[in-house]
This record gives sequence, structure tokens and C-alpha cells, in this order.
Amino acid sequence: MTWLLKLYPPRWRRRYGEEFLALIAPQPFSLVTVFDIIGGAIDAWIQPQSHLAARAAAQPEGDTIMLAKVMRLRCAGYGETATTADALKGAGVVIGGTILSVVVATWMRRQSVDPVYTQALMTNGWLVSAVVSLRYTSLKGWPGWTQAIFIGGLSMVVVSITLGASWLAYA
Amino acid sequence: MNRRDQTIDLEEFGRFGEPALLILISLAEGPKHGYAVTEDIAAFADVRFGPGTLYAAIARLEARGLIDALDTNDRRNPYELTALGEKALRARLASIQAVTRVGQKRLASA
Repeated sequence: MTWLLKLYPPRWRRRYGEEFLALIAPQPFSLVTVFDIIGGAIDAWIQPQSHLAARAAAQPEGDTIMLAKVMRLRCAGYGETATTADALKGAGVVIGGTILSVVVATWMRRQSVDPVYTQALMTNGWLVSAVVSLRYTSLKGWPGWTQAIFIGGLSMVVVSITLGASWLAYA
Repeated sequence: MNRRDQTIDLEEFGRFGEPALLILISLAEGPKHGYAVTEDIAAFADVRFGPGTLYAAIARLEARGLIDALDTNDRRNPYELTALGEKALRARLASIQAVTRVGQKRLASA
């Protein structure tokens, strides 16, 4: 059950992770415990954890310079280790996805595909790319299945709304 | 008003009010880590909290300064009751005692 720790916010894991693992590691698998931990993780994301940021700032870390501490406080809760490279990857996915969707939509128009689909892809293709890019930013450090469910679910919602709106426009 | 002059009502912990109260009672005996707190509560209250519930309550108690983590090299961090925590625990127990007294009095005259 130790993998469930990954459901908790990074700041929470840094503060309580070790002792939490020490508590759950010897416990046998139980659905009640799994649901309890998931409930605790949801609570940890919802509840303000200001004392964790204060504690992180107060902990002496030897090689940590002041700028790094300031950055850590500013970025706390945003993602585990979202770096500049991750942000660039995310931007690449958004830009690349947008260009691809426009190219595909243009091709579909030339092929006389139903304008409902063409228009939907042309106007909102970038939204799906933006959702997929979360994998490199807000969702970085989350378990793969969590990313898949979040990105897949949100993409389906976006596609449904987009197609619905497009269908209404051409109905 | 100084934070130390305030008494934090455990009612504000919502559904974590009961776990928080039992954790404070457990720590009133002396510092304990999460596992020891769980075992102690199971022994004196016959309730076993899951890890998610236990640490949600611990995080709230620590955030409000009612308990404090002790520095240790052990991966299991012990917690101790603070002066504010002791005050909150005394207030809560007094409130429960007053309600219990009324209940018992009414049952006796029923």
C-alpha cells in the first residue's frame, strides 16, 4: 500500500512521508485502509497546509541557498519538481498539438468531412493539447494511472463539450 | 490577542474532532509516534484509526500548534503535547464532563 503515499501533495510527503510509510508498511492490505488513505490524500490536497511551508523554510539544509529556499516556497504545491525544462516540454505539447489539430482540421475540410468535426477540431484542438501538457507540469510526480485518468477524463469532457457546441451550431 | 491566550475548540476540526481529541489524550501521557498513538488509542478507546485519518488529524493539530514534532533520527517522528494543546484538551474534557454530568443526572431522575 506504500504507493498510495504518492497521492498526497509533495509538501505533505516531505513532512510526513517517512513516518506515514513506517506506519502503513507493516499493515496487511485492506480496502478499508486504502479508502482511508485516499480520503486522507484528498483532505491533504483540500486543506491549507501553511505550517508545512513554514517548516520547510525553517529547516536548515546546508547547501540550500536563500534563492532556492524562496523558489521552493513560491513553487510549493505546484508540482513535485516542475523545472524549466518541464515547462518547455509542456509548452511544446500545447504548440505542437495546436498546429497538428489545425493541420488535421484543414485536411478534413478539404476531404469534405462533416463540418461539425472540422469546426470542433479547428477551434478547440488546442484545449486537449493543454490538458495533455499537464503531465509535465501540474501532474508531474503523480502515479501514471492518476495522470491517465485525469488527462483522459478531462480530455473526454473537453471533446464532448466541443462536439456538442459544434453540433448545436450546425444543427 | 496572543495565540497562547486563545483556546482552540476541537469542534472546528469537523469530522477529525474525535481523532484529534483522542490523539491529545494519548499524548497527554507523554511523547509518542504515529504507530504508538494508534495502538494507545485502540487500547483505551477501542477505536483504531486508519493512517489517512490519523495523519489528517495530526496535521491539523500541528498546524494549530496543539502538538509539536520532536527532533529525532528515527523515521517515526514522535509528537508531544504543547501548552496550547494541553489547554485545548482541558477545555474539551471539561465540556464533555459537563454534558456527561447533565446526562447522568437526567437519567437518574428518569
